[in-house]
Amino acid sequence: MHSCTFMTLRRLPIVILEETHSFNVQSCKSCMACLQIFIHMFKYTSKLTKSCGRNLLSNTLMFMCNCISALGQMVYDTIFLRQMKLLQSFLEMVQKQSMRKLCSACKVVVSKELAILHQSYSTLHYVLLFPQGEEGWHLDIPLQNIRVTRSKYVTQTLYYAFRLHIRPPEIDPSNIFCGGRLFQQYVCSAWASVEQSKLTWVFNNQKKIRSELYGGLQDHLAQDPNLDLRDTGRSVVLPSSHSESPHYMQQLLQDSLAICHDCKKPDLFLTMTANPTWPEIADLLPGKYVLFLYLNFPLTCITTNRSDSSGST
Amino acid sequence: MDRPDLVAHVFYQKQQALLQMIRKGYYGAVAGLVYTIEYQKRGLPHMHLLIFLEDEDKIWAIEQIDAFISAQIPDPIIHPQLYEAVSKYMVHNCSPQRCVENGKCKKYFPKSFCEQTVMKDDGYPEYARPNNGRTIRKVINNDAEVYTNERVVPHPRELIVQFDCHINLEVCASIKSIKYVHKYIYKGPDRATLQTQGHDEVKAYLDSRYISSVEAAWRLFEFGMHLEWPSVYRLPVHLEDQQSVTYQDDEDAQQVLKK
Repeated sequence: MHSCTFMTLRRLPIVILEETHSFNVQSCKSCMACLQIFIHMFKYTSKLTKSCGRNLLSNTLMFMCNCISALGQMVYDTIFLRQMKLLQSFLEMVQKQSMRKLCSACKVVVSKELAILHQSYSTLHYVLLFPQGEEGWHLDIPLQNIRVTRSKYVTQTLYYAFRLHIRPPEIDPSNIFCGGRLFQQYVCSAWASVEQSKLTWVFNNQKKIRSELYGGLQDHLAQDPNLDLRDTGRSVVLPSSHSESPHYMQQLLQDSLAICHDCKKPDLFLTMTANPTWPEIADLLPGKYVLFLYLNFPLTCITTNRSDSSGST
Repeated sequence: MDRPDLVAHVFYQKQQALLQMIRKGYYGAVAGLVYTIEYQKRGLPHMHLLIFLEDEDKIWAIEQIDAFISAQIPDPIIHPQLYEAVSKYMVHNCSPQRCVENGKCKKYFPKSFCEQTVMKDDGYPEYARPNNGRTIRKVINNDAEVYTNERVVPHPRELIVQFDCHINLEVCASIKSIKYVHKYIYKGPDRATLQTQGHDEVKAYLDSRYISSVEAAWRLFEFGMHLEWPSVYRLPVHLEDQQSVTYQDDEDAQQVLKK
């Protein structure tokens, strides 16, 4: 009987997956974590529907399907069997919906309606990480502790740093840390969107950064002797204030050579590489994707109290 | 390795602790420090650090080098901890993906035995690797291999025990090595193939940029990527009466002329 259900469960998401993005749910390996998240989503679907309308519901359903496909490849145990009834009732619910309708709805949500600035962006992309439909970053989160930046609102960087802050579950039962590779993807895309915003600003404010100051032909020649003169007609400049940009690296190199000049010669060259098996890391790793983890964070580097500076959720 | 935020936090702490130690005079009075943080393709962060010492503590003598740097397997009975750390982190194991090019190791391992530390002409000293029969036995992918002093990466003795990770330490002696080191440090972020049309630097930067999760976490926590100390101030240089002047559209022309 179980294998039969499995077949149905596994085929269903394939149909949907063909039509939409693959969201890397496979990476959420732990059977238990998946199930718990799944049940959470199930519980909160009604809440989501209220806040974001029908599209979100269908999107959530899609994620549930992906979730099941991930589950299908796992070894299931007794706890899993107990949850089967829930899955079945969900299945019926999905089947009631017209499949095509569902897919088109999902597509619209993913491609058009959600700009990266929308508060539901990360929620929809990472439903597994935010099963309760928590809102993500948006432009109007007021910042209470204004000492950190000049902005009146929480910046993207601040917000994500806040999200990645580890805290005990009684304050914020957060399961994004249990997401495995999905969590890594979340972190990457968080930084990518931060950087994207910065670059957009640079792109739109070429006049403000006085891009013509970078325009010297000699600057160019210094960088690239095989320069094509047609390219010097300058369109967009990435200023040296943007870290990791070529201008920035060049400036650092010059600075360092200046230090070299001042301090005669460097004496020692040291390379230190992180060790993933450091006890500090290993001890803090949650016991294989435990859902609500408690961590007594012994590191002291987080000094600014960001928990009260964000008004999210 | 599913917790990039933790790796970033812990590495930051260790790295700061190491810098603190060096600043307090671990290698003698420090005149300047330069470092960059980089990420391997799989995401582990590492730091390249250049240490400039004050004149009286500059490293010239062979004995000084020997005191700081070791490139040999320690005695497993007298220094069991050090032996373990060296065998864990400081043995170079050639692999085709990483360092073998044209059948040879790019980093010239295995190096030949050498009874005493010698300054070579190309700026890098040859560290003492005596042929004293000490070996390290390591099992990698079910292949047990025995390593001798030929394959030990130069390292600071106490630091690798204290920080429990791979730390490579070299002496910079000549102009040539300074050039190499700077090139190495400031090569910029890794990227895949790059192809640009026209001159849009923002786009060129975005194209084929890749971010590892640890790097993303590191940047989100706003940890430093670079340090240049003492700080450098760039002075604008111009010929007589040819300084650049900045003015707004609505400013008075006479006022602008006076600048």
